[in-house]
Amino acid sequence: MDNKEQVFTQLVREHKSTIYSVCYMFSKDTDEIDDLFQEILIRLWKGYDSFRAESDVRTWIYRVAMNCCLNADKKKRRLTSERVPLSVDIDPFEDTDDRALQTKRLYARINQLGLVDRAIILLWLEGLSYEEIGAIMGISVKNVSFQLHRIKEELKKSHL
Amino acid sequence: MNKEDFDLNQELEQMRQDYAHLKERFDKQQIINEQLIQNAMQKDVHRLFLSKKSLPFGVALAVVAVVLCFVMGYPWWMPVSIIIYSLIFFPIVFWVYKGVREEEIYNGDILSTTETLLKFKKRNIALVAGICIFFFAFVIAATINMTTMNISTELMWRRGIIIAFLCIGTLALEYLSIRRLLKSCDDIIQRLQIKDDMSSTL
Repeated sequence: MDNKEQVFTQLVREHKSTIYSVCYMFSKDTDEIDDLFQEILIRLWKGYDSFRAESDVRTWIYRVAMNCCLNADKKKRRLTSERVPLSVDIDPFEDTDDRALQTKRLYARINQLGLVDRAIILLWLEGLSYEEIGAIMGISVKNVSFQLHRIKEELKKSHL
Repeated sequence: MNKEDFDLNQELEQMRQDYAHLKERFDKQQIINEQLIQNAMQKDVHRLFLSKKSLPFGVALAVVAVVLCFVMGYPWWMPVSIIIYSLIFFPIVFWVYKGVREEEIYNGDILSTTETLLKFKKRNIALVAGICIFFFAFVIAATINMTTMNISTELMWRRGIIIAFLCIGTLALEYLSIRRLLKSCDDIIQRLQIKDDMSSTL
């Protein structure tokens, strides 16, 4: 492995749980998570050279991950890709312990939202600033505030 | 703060806590393995870019076909058709891929990436439609030309109908296979853009 590959490997290891969480929120089962995760890694690697020194690494990873999840043709990929299983010994869709129930509750809340809203609320849950969310989504800070207010209202309505 | 706002804030706080637990849970997992990394580094992402990458082969094939037509003494309209096809469609393939860089397609923000993808997909449909129309016209012209030979009108019709079905079928398949993606792109753009217009007037 050369230096570039080592740096890249370290980078994805550091952000593995972020990428996995995003995949989980946009998937219906673990196979789909595996597919999306793999696709995101490929996209990150292919875009690694053009990313350098352009923006914050975390913002870039979110951009690639969100783009993959929002724009992916899941049906097509499922039929054509050679899936590499991830090294995960939990199944967030099937586990039933207390922690898993917390996870499922969050999944259910987020999954009632549309794709774009799901992406925005996930970035908010990650603790990103409005500026960062705007840069990832390609919208103004004012729009981020507007969207978040609307999504929160939607969550409130659905809870009543 | 009224009760409703208080409940919502509590709910959002609960979501934040749940999300922190979720990440903590995933953090404990290995997730990444050697095979996954190797696969990501070696795999080509050229599903979208198949036509562009096969363009040099297409040009080479067209040249060989034209030369063969002359060598084999085929009717003049065959090499001419191949040349016309090449002159029309090879530049269109370049136009389809204009501004779409494989390495950067998912690196941009969501809105601009979705707009690029949508534009690319629509141009691709236009390209397939153009090729189908050209192919259909070519077959009609060839059939008319062959009337000088001993081919019955019924056989001509049959061939024409088969070719028409093939052309329409190819176009329909191309559209059906990506219509979900087209619709999804439209939705994303609409949601992000319209709200941007609204928020700027607030």
